[in-house]
Amino acid sequence: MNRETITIDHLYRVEGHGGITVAVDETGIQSCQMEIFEGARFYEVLLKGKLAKDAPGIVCRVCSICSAGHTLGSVMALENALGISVSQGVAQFRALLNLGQFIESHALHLFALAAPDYLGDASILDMAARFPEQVHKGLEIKRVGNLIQEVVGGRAIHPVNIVVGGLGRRPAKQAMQALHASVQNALDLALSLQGFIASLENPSMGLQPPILVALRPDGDHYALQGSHLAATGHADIPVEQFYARVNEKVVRHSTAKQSTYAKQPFMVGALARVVHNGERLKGEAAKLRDALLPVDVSTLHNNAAQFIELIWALEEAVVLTEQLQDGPELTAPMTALGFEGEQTGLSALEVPRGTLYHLYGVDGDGVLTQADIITPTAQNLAHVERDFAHGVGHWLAQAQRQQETLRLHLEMIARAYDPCISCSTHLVDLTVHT
Amino acid sequence: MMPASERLKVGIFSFTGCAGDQLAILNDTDVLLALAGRVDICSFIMASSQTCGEDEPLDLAIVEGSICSEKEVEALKKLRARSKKLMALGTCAVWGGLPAMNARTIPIHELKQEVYGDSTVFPDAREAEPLSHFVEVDYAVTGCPIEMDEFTHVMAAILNGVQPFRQDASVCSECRIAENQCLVQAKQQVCCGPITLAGCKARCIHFGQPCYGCRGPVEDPAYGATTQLFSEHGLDKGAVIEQIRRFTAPAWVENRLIPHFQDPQHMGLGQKPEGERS
Repeated sequence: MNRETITIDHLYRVEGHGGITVAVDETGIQSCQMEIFEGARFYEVLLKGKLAKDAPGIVCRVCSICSAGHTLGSVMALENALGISVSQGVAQFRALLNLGQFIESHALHLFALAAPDYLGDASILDMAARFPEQVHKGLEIKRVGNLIQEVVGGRAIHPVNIVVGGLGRRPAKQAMQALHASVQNALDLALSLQGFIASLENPSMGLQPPILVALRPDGDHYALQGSHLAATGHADIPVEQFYARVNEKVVRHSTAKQSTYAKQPFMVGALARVVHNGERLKGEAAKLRDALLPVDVSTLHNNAAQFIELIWALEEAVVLTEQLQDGPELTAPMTALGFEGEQTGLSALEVPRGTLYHLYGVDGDGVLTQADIITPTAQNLAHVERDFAHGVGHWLAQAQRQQETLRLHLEMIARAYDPCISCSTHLVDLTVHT
Repeated sequence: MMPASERLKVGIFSFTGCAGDQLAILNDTDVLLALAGRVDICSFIMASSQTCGEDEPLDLAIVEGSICSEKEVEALKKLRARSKKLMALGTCAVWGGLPAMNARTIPIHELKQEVYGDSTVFPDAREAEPLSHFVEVDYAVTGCPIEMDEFTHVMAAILNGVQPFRQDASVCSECRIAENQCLVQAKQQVCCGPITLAGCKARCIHFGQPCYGCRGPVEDPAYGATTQLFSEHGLDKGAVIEQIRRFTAPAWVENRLIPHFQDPQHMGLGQKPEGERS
């Protein structure tokens, strides 16, 4: 067999610039690297010396797609440092904002980015010619996700209404009523697409069972927050022990760091949440879980898990937009933050692509002394490389190896993780050097 | 739809940033479809797998993000060379944005050492800078993210062959129209409204947040009057400096705008921000 290096020059869905290099010789796969070329932005250093209260407005700019998640994560970590609890109303509005982000993000990924692969289309545009109804409905659901973020967060990108200790301004009753109607309509549209989603079949790629990690919600509801972490093959641990279990390391081929859980690559995201907490789902989402997910899941089932969560998020948002139309005045946000001495605060929050961690140290003057942000995509990178290795191994074992198949399969694997959206429906340029 | 031969060839490109300005265009399906009917969008990685060749001439390059590596410097110069006009899209492209927040305060090797534990990694990384530091910029649409009505106005002007209207009012002017309470006067908060370019309809102040100057300075910021206003309300000059540095530090550091900022000590550099304490 020839010595081969398989290079995927451009990976358009990891917040900018990345690629994949697989080196193969007669003994098998020598290396399999996911390279991230995104310009380093040094947020962790930039935050030092800044006022803690300004952190949410800075860190939301890590990513436009995930700006609501970073704002919420940052605000929660600072409230954790200060020992503040917000009122139930504030917490509900924030939960609604996160649901809006889920609805927007999952709808976009499923209908615009992942589905074309299954249908043999190059992009959503090609897909729209043959599946106009599905594309139209998908984009309308996405629009409603953005609308929730506009009404609650004040803007669909980089929310301005979420502040430490509270909410800047309570959304008007009229706006919430209109939102309620839009969300109900989006839920009906999404439910009408379940047959379409069920028709998308995962090809066999030789992937091994994923190692899944997700927050375990307190109580008995499917939720996006929790005090414990659930991991495949491990007992739950308190979130505070995250840093003892998860190791982040710098790899030379990537400006993004890589993470392991108990020394193994792991996967976060919709599939991890639905596998670990799916028995808490109710209503249509529960039925869909039984219909769409087999007992032995693979990475590609993350797409189906996203659809299950999309239905769940819409069902939750219908209830919240109804409940939040009336209610008591919200607690006023804090203008002066009472930091006393050195304090640290950690938050863990489920966002569309997985668990997001924010950790801050703040001194007595309310100035940041340290900041650490661990994003879902960074946690997934080592597991993506693991899946790629299995996929390439499966491809090498085939008698007739077609590069087009490998290209499509590697693209589908990468897309299943829904790495940050700065991306297109066309994922990779693949060249094989012999 | 116009015949293909008469349509402007437009490419939308991205350097280092959060992709929020591209996303704003992508989210606004009405504007995007109207634009696609009038111009030939031959490159928009976030939206389409179609990309034009690297040497293909363009009528207009729309460029998002700041420049953070030597590779990006080269790519930007090549892009400029093949484009008749170039638009800087969003605050990162126009002013440097958040990645340039610490402009000229921490050397790049120290940043790398701190984040990656090794200052020799990513040898072509450089301090973030706006597009105008490297190439000529014809149009600037600022904002973090951009306001879509402003982008639409500028595109409409370009398509109709007229020079886009250049806004030079401050956020305060829009804040008055919106009848918001002045946060400096009523709450003694540091607010960059007086010196920041309008166009956002004072969105943050509407939600009770002070202006962080994300859209960049007005042409002639009334620095003296603003610091006077702050001191009258018991606020420190250093606090507003800290606030305006966040999105547009290179503009202030290079002293294009305000002679007061010549003195690094005055910029609050290397000092702890003083926050909203008097």
